[in-house]
Amino acid sequence: MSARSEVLARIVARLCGYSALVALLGVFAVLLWNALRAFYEIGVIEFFTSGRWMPNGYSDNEFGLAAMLGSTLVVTVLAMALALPIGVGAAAFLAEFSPRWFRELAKPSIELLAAIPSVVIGFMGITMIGPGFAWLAGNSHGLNAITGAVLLAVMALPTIVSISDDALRAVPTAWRDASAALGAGRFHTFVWVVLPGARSGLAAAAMLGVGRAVGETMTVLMATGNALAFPTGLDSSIRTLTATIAIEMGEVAQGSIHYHALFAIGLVLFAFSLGLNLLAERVLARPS
Amino acid sequence: MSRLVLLSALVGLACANSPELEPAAAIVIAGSDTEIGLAQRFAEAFRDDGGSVVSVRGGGSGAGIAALLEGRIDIATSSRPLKDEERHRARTLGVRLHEHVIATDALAVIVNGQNPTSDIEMPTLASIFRGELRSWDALGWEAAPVTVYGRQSNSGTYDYFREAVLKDDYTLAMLSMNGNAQIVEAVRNDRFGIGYVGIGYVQEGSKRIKVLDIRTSTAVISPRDPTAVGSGDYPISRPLFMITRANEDPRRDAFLSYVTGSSGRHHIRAEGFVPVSAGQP
Repeated sequence: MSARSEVLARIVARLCGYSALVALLGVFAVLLWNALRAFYEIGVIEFFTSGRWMPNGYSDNEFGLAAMLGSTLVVTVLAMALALPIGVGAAAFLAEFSPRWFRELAKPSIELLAAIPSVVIGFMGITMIGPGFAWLAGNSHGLNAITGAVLLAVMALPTIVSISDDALRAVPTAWRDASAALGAGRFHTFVWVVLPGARSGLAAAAMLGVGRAVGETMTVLMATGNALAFPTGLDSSIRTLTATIAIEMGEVAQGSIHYHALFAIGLVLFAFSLGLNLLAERVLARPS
Repeated sequence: MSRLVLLSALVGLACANSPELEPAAAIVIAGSDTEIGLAQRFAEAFRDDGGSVVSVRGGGSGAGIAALLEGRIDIATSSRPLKDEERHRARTLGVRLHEHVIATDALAVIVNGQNPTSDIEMPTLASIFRGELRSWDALGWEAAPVTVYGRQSNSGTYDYFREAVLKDDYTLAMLSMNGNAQIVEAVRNDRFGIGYVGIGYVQEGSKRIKVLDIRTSTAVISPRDPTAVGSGDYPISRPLFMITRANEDPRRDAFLSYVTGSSGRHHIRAEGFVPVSAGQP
């Protein structure tokens, strides 16, 4: 009896383990299968280099991803430029300098930030952050890259702070003690001993943060204005890859080139986040 | 998007319930999403006034016409006239169709309340939305960039405005908004914005938003003028149709005459559309 239940439990556990892999491969296969026709019909080079995305054009249809790739890049880089210094700084304070009671209060609060639905953050972007930036910059509206980037930075912060904090705390106390014994102050020790010691964890935090920013849909859809032009500045209205899928998915005719082109965008996003995650995993696994 | 999701959920529900509903419904309507609110209003009022039970579904103009041709519904609502291939298909099936224009939907060009412009010519409007005219100083205001607000490419209004005004692609710099209400909200807050929405979405007497009149060679026409909209003198307006088969069906025809009658016209106005007869004495 017990032997049989043992065997059963093992089979069930194994099935659960494999199911994640099957789902991943399944998604990849579906994306690839559907995207291939788009690459074939549009041409890989045109798909990635043309800046005109006109799936429902007046005289003809065009499927060029370049402007959206540029937009996604701009908003992501900007978000990281904001979130990384703040996130690592916050983690440094929590791990090294803050009193214990504050740490115990602050860390769960920051992690709770991740629980705010993206649509709520997007709404705050439309009603507060966008108009705020518009007022500061003297623009007439705030539906642009910088607003999107600020919101994405807020959304990526919990990931970055949490992983950075773990990485900083994983640096052995003995190193800090050794540094102190050599006469270094706390700040000096942090910059020259702890930060380098935690670099792989910090790099992983950055990569997962980037993944969060690239994959986010609702917030950028709401806050960036969704103009299809190539961004010319931080206050350009932009449209990201994710927003394009979300906007056009609802009405696309199944089996059309447009339909397959949306799958091709999905494949690009999938490849990007898969690559980032693999990279982050390798960096994390590397001994510091 | 959320409205769309809600709508499709409702449509889904309606479909799921149809085995119970359809025997009771004497008249089945399906088609245009633009007209769905109006059709539902007609259906409720018609039943309350002692008429037959009418069931209303969306699905889009094309889907409604297809269902009508297959004889699955009694009336197809459509925000566009029949296409050639649909007429051809009807001939092949041996079906004669009647297009009834029930109302007119005027699109209003809106700008911010601080904008001194009060009217615009069609070619100017087209060059703004094509992205050739980018600064308000060309219209005698400040040298500030025009923010162009439009609908997303899946919208029928996007198609209609492009066909009626631009005759070319929209500028890539156009901000694509998710629905009429969002455009109104954006232009209300953007001093240099311009957009197009159904006239029903702009509240009368609002100070923060302004509806532009259209200037032609002979006149300046407001989308708020039901006579000009009904007669087609206002250039950015489109007829809304109810399409039927040409057979005899007294219950359906009673509904159609209710729609075009005086209480029907009241409901058309209440939904922000213009009754046809207003411009045609």
